[in-house]
Amino acid sequence: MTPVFYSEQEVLATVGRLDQARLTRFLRTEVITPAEAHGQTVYRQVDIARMELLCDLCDDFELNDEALALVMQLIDQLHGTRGDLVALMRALGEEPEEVKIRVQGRLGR
Amino acid sequence: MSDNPYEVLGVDKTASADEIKKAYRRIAKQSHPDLHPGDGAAEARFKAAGAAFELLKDPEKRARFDRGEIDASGQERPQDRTFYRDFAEQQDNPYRRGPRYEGFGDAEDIFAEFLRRQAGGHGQEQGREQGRGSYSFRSRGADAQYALEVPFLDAANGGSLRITLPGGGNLEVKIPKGVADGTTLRLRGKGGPGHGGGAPGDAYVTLSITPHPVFRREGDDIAISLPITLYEAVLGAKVEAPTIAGPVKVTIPRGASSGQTLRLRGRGVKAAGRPAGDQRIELQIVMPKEVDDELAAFMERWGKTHAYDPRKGGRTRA
Repeated sequence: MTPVFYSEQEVLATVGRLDQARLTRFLRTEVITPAEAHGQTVYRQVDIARMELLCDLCDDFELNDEALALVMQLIDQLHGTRGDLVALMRALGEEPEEVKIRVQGRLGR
Repeated sequence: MSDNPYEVLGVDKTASADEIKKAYRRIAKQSHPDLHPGDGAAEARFKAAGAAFELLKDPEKRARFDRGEIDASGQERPQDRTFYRDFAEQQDNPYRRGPRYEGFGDAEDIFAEFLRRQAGGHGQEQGREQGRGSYSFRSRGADAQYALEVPFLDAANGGSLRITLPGGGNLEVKIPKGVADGTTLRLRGKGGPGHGGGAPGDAYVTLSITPHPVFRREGDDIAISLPITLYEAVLGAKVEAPTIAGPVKVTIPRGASSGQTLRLRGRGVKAAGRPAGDQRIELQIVMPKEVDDELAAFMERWGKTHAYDPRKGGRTRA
């Protein structure tokens, strides 16, 4: 079973391209905000996936701190907006056919 | 897709290291799955380009590939990594920006959030104070991130736990019935305080469910293994079995075998909005601590006249 929470050591072992310096950098620029439990810092699966992406951005695109934070902010906005759209489409999908046709008509205008 | 790394990157065999790097960056930019969440084929292109670049950026590996000593898949990066996009669009992603919604698929709530956003009630904003010409800066408080271990039964039955906050005080977390491992709850307004009249931030609480020595969760079903005696198995019996809502009497059928499963309908997890799960009880016949002379003599006598072969018909394989 995959653990829900990872310690700092476990994170360093799990994310291959991550080292202590890089992790410190991610925390300093607040592109990673781990959770805390009883005063201990723990990382979640979403943090692991995010660090993989951050490593790509560092390795492949050589982004500096400012650019890294900016890019992540835009990515999060993009995903947030996509999530909204999915929710809206799902809600619309449950509406009767006539409502869908009416909305479609309005979108076409 | 070709597995020739030169073709994957679209460069000549004679390409310089710089050209290779440029070609890879171009593909990575266009195909990184997290940067292009709507593009289904992006992941395959990105992985192929990553593997190709991994091989060609190393002059020694590249030379060995050119000499045919290793194949294109020779030195791939581990392919089982997780991508951020798998988490990013989820309602409970603590990094998500823009409007967020309490609960899943609750249309009323979503519309309320949309309207609130249209009215400018979210995030950082600058407002002109009434009557005066000055500007004040209002900003929303920071979000707080917490991790919480939830005892198995609290997760199954629902409950209420408290997080002790670093600055003293505590935060009550209501655990919804049947919550799944790894779920993140959002507690609106329970994060850091806002500035200049801005709204407080939210608290995100990620839950980890601790295992139980007796119960196992399989979706909304609860599975246990129940030890029974030899004579209960032979004769049948009514015995007590634990469920997540307390012990119940169950009937062991006459002639029960180890591994046989009894199903208690609706005795599993009763999560809101989902049909209640069942409890499955796997019977496990346990021998007495010691096989005494009486039992041995009886079995010997009985076996001589009632032989049967449970292994016949492929029920067990060697």
